[in-house]
Amino acid sequence: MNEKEKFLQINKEAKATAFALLIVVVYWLLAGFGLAGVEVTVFYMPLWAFAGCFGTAVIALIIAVVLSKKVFKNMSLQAEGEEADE
Amino acid sequence: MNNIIGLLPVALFLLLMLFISIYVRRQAARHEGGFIKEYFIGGRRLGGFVLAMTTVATYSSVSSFVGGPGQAWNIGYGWLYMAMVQVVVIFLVLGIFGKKMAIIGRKINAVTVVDVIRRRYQSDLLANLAACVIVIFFSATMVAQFVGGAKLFEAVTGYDYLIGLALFGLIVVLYTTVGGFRGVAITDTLCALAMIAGMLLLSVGVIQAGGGLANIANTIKSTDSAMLEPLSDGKMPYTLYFTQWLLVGVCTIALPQSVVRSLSYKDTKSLHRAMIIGTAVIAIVTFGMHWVGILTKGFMTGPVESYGGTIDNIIPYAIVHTMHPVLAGITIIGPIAATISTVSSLLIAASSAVIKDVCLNIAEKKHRQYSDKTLAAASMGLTVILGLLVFWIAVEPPSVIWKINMFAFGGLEAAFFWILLFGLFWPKANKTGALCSLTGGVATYCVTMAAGYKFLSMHQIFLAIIMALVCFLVGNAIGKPHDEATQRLFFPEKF
Repeated sequence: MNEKEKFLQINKEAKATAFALLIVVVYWLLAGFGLAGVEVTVFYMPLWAFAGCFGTAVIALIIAVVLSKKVFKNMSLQAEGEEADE
Repeated sequence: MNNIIGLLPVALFLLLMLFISIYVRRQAARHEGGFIKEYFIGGRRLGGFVLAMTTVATYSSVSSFVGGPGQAWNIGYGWLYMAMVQVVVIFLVLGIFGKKMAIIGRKINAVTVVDVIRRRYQSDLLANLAACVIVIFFSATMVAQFVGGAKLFEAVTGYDYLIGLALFGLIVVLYTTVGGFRGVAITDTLCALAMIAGMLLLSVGVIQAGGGLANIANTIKSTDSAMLEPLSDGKMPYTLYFTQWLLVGVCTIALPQSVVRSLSYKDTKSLHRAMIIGTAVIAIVTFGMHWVGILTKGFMTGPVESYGGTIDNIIPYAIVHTMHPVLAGITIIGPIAATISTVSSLLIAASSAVIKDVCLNIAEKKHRQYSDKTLAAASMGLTVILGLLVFWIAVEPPSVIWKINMFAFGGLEAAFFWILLFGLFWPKANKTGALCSLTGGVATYCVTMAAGYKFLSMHQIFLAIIMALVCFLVGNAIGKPHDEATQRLFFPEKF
């Protein structure tokens, strides 16, 4: 990747991260407040709490994996034409 | 408990921290590249696992172990639900700032967040103000952490507040001074593991004391059924949920102690790994500790008055009353680790703000050169002095410690959120906008906090972050854009 491609990729990654935040927020809203009236118990807690708390943790982890493996790309952190200092 | 068994595990853990930082220091002496880069940013060699653990350990403080779970005991699942917003903080800060900070940091040889801000906005005034904000708020946070850790130590072991404070307070100052940033990162890693271990041990103790999960669920239902509702009988309004998304979720990406970690890692593979590991660890600790807080309701059904009148006593009480003294002694390493891992990161960052951002900048202007030996003596000298000063303030603790902690937290966010976000992603952002945003944001936050004023009955961070934005945009319209060299450095894709 040249300098320009790197920075375009970085902008893309930042936008994807912001979008990932939006997904977590929407899931958190739907699973927690959305299920608040349901009288079901899962693993000794109300369904909304299980889905909104434990579920949000799982969703966030899945999103972190997808971002890291699918969206984010490897690149050199050194400027073009410079040797790595290690 | 008040016997040596309660003290020994913590003391051994702290000694281990000290040995590690001495070892790290000796290893670091073999690397070329100048003392300042090695001491304040660990020579940019952190791998993914250590990067993840140090970012989580810095973020998770003693209140993640004491205040938060205590509130969960009081309020119920609503508090856990609200706390879970924190699962986004690691992938957000690393995903948004991680690479750009790392690439630009290497180009301009930055070791602090202020280095990057100074270059981007080309303003010494802004850089000095930023360094001031960092030193003041970090110091307040360190005091609050010391006080919280020492109070918990006293409650669990029975030893005097001052003994606990002296034990871990002096050792953390010492090991931070010796090991520098790399020592902090590696000890942070062990601290994060100790936090998970402490949480697991306590969860077993609490579930047993409550007579099993089914029993605990029944106890909660019969004693306080509001704990099962997200709004918790009015104790958890929607506005609180919304502002917590800002305060402990989205805006945390601007905390300088988190952002500086973007300058410290080795390669992009490490960053990608850290996003996954860090998110997993913060999810486990946040969910685990707050759930434990709720489960303590299984055997602690009295009003808060029966536990000393403050929710901060809930977790210490649970540790003492559910666990064998040896296990309690091991469990308490968790919250102590949370305390010292936050203090160590803040201390090294505050020290770098004074030495690198202020002193060395002045020296550079006067064209003075110092040997690595002088720089080492000055950096370590300042770190130890700053650490001891904070320690000394914590001996006579101010009464509103948790408030100060949150005061600093939001203040840092209001100061840096737009400066960093716009600075790195908006080419038109300029010095005037940044100066207005920092002063306007911090002033709004501090004044409204002090006055107890809540705009639309929302937490002060809401108004402060909006004011910081408005100030930025107004200032930006007045100021002039930066020169082409700066534009090419920060936004080469535009040319």
